[in-house]
Amino acid sequence: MSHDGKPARRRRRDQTPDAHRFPTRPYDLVKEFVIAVAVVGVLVAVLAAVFSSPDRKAITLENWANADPNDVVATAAGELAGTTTSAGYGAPYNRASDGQKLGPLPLQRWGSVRIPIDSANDLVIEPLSTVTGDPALTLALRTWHSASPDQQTKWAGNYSDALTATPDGNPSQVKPGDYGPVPVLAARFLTLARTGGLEGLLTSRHTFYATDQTKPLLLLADGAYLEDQARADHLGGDQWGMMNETGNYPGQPWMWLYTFWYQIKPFSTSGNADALVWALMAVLTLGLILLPFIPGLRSLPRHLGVHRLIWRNQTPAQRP
Amino acid sequence: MSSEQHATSSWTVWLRNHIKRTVPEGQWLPDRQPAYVRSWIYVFGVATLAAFLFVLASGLALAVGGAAWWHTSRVGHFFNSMHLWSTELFFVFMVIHLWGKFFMAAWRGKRALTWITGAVAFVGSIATAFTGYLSQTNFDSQWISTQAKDGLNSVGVGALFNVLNLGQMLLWHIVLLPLVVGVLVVLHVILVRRHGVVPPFDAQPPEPAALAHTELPEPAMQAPTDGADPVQVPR
Amino acid sequence: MSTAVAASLINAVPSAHGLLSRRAYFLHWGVVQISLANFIIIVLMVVLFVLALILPFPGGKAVKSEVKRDEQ
Repeated sequence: MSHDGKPARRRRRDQTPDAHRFPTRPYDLVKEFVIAVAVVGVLVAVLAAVFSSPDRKAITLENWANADPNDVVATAAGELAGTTTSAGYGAPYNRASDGQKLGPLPLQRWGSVRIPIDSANDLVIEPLSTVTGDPALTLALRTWHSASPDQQTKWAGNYSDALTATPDGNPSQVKPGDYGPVPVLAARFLTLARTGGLEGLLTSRHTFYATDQTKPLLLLADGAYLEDQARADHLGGDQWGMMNETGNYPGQPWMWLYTFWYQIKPFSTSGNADALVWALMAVLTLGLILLPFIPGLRSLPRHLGVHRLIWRNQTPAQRP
Repeated sequence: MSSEQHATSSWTVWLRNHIKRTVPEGQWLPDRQPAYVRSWIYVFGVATLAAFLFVLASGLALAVGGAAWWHTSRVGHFFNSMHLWSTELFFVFMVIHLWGKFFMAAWRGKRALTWITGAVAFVGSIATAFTGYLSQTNFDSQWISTQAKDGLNSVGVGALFNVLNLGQMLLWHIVLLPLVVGVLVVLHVILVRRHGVVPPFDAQPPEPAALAHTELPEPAMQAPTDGADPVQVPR
Repeated sequence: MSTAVAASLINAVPSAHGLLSRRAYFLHWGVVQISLANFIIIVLMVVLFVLALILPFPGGKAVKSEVKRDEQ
């Protein structure tokens, strides 16, 4: 029975009494806070001293060129052919594709092209154009610029395919074919990467101060090397990678639900997985935030009964 | 202008009264709390707060040396480690605090906003931590940014919030997002002080006669009414 | 070990001087893959939660003996 005699089956109004009307006991909040700060402080210092923190060095484009030169050459050819991830990405970099949809809604396309990047020109041709004293490169660039876009795509596509056909993408084992200036461009691109100056050409050539790494990151991610390194550390999307950290360090356990969806169908096999997961998590997050207003869910705690453990110390006068 | 007119038309007086009414008198820093608050589960809120302070303090230390300092300095690396572990503890304590508050249905008694500010602070903290990972200027940042961009681009917001742009992400991490989380935490704590800790399910305060040997709130110090009826008589 | 090899190792091994810098251990159950470190953290959290619920909290003086309230 509720206090007014009516059956308490369905409580439509929240009749929780004012907390300030209940009997109290002394409690030192400031002392509690100081103790918490002291205990947590010691914990933090000890954990930091004992376990430290990971700092795996960034992969420079020079590192990439030295560790996996064939991948650099293949990536350069792919940029010129328009077949890399960035070249075919769609918004916000270009209009090559509509990108992902949420049901019928082309959300990615609606984002529009606000960071325009022409993969072939911005990532490969422009940096190469800064090189002087290399007649073969100058000639290759002139040949490239005087060809039609279709011809350019044909040359670069042929060379990409030829590289794939060799045992491990080795340019020196490519069969003769119609590749135009692409082999020279790709080889010189590798040389340029090995100098260590490619990041600067991509980020600060016109601005001096480099604060935006969009271009070199897109280039690096177009290759296979970055992902290979990441997957070796279980950081891949289908490896619950969002939760993980390099080495044996704890990562982000709180990301468990976000990354979970990527592991199962239909998300794991969908081309729109990112949009779908994002939307699903947005709905679930809204559900968490608005929990007090969701009938059924908001009554769950009462029925689960864990509260009986928390409040088992009430005096008889306080118990209902 | 008479002093009465002054009082009703004064913005200052209005604000002062508004602040006074936000929390019942004596409840900003009370030295007593309801007797039903007696469980270790209640320390996880203050533990989260303590961890948050160390996240901020270690972050301040890292700011002193700049974004790349911790890669080359042992002292800088130690502060980075403190920043990492205080963040891990921050999330551990916050989630346990959330579990406890869920099982108590702590949104009861007009405390929905307390729950909401807490939940939004949780989401905001995840966003803050995310921009932190992007700001590491190492392999982690390279991988996380190139992966995360796909999620944001897929829903059309990747250009406004460009995770590949260190200059933008670092500033979101050290200025914008901590401010948002900080404001939410302050609001959250004020709301806890305003409403007090949620009573147990179906608990009723004793009637006035039974409180003869305990303290009673003075009539002048009525708490903002929860809409609850006057003290219930248990049947 | 030559400096060149050591340098390349530090590049490849995360934080090569830390306790947790070794290759990570992972646990697998069907579609679930979780690092040992994350698993330990989650287990610790559940243990902490359960302990917080069942361990007695000190300071249980009978409320009835409180006569005065010394806040404003």
